[in-house]
Amino acid sequence: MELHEYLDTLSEQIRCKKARPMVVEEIENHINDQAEAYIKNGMEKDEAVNRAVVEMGDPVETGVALDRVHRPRMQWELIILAALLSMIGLLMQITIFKTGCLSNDTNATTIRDSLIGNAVLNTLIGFAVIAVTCAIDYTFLGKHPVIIWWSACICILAYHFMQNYLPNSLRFTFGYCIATLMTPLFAAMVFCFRGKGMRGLLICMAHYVAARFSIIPSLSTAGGIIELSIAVLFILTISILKGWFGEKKAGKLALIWTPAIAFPGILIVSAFHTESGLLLREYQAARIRSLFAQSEESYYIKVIREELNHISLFGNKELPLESLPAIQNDYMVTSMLMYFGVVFTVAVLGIVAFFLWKAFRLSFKQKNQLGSVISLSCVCLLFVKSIFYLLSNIAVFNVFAQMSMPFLSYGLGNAVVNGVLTGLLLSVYRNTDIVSEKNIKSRYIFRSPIQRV
Amino acid sequence: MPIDKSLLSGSTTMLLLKLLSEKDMYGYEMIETLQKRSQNVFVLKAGTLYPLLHSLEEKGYLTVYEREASGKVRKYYSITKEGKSFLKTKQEEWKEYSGAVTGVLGGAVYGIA
Repeated sequence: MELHEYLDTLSEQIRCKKARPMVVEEIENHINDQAEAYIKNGMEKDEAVNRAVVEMGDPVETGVALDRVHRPRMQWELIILAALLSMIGLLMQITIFKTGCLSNDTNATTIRDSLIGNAVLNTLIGFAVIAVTCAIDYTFLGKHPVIIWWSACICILAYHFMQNYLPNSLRFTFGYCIATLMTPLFAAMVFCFRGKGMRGLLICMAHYVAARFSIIPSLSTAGGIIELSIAVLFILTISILKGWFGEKKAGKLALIWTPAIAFPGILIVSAFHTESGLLLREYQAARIRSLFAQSEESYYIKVIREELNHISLFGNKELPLESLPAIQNDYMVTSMLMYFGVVFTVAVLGIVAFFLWKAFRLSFKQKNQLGSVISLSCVCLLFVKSIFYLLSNIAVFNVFAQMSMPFLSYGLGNAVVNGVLTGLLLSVYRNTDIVSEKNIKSRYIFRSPIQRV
Repeated sequence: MPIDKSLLSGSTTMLLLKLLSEKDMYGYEMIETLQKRSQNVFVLKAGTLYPLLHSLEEKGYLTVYEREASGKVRKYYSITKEGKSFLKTKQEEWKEYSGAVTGVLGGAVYGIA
């Protein structure tokens, strides 16, 4: 059997075509090593190669065994959890719309039915987005991360100039979605500059800071930008701890954490000294101040606290429809507490926590490094969103506009964003034994931190 | 886990993990080393080796990285923490088994390389 014949037969056994090249390359290298050893012992070249191929054994048997390892994998547990949470979210949304419309007036019922229709449609769209994102090979994010990052920034500019033509409801949703989706792009960039020491870290920070203070603010979504900043800080911290930017981790951690603490610190101080008035607009200063003086100032905090006094273990079948606006968007957990009670709500939040924990573990243990950092960034965002939402819903603070609770709260933007984040998580897992990050590595000088002598 | 049992039967997994616990190696190097150290008793076919290595990697017992050595980029395998503890259990099982065999056969066969 000829070498290429052997390799062709072997690779045909591996059903997942994407996995073939990396497997075949390794086997081919092995045959060449073996042939070289034979040549050294005095064999002719052709004979040596043929002998080495014969030594390999049956290509079908080997190929079939390799096929068992290299195939796409679905993380069914996460999919089932996501489906379950979406269904609970949908149930809660429908409950809200039905409770909100008690009159039999045709006008009111038409609005109710169209809202319920939207809720069902959003859930379906969310699932379609998960399916499509999951089917994509995420590694393209790592191939040209800088170009993708700045292309996304150009999209933001385009959005900024076009937003006046968008309907109001879409305008904020769009900005929030784009801000969220910048996070995995940044994760991919960090991956590509790893192994370059301090310089790599500084380049990543420069790209982020440049975009953060020029273009990203035009998204005008404080909540989205705060979430992005937290996720960026998390990605950089994890990658420094993993040794991606070399040794002397403490200094590098200080380098990213100092501005991360100082910048909000300065904003907070200036929010209380508005007479200098340079850094913040008055409404921004007021929002920050209200964070620290919520119990006296915030109307919503007061209302929620008042409502939370009446919750029971199994629910009152009542909703805070008059006192809180847009509860299907912003007060899903509060509504759940009031309507279905503490037991049900804690169970649902438990499922969310389990989903996040499972996703975190899978991402942390993921062997493909690009996959790992991208899916970690997605988990981080989902976690931050859930925590902020939860805290505002139990009256701890209430400051970020356009928040969303993954899977549970109403809204097309929410469905799309969470669909993309969950889809990316699943795509990374699906491709665990299929994609090779080698092609990405070879574009940059990379020295593996695992090398041992 | 649908891993071919014939691959895992015997002690090949244990021997490979043992080799890798001493130093990172690429596939060809493993076959050569195994052959040398066992004085030509263990001649592992490459067609058996790679599926086994890949399934061990999938299970998290090994990790892979690429390194250039004498002009060629090679895939090196490195044992993980999980791999080390798996090796330890395998070794204990083996000692128990070979001790039992020795007990039945009589004589001090165990311990002679």
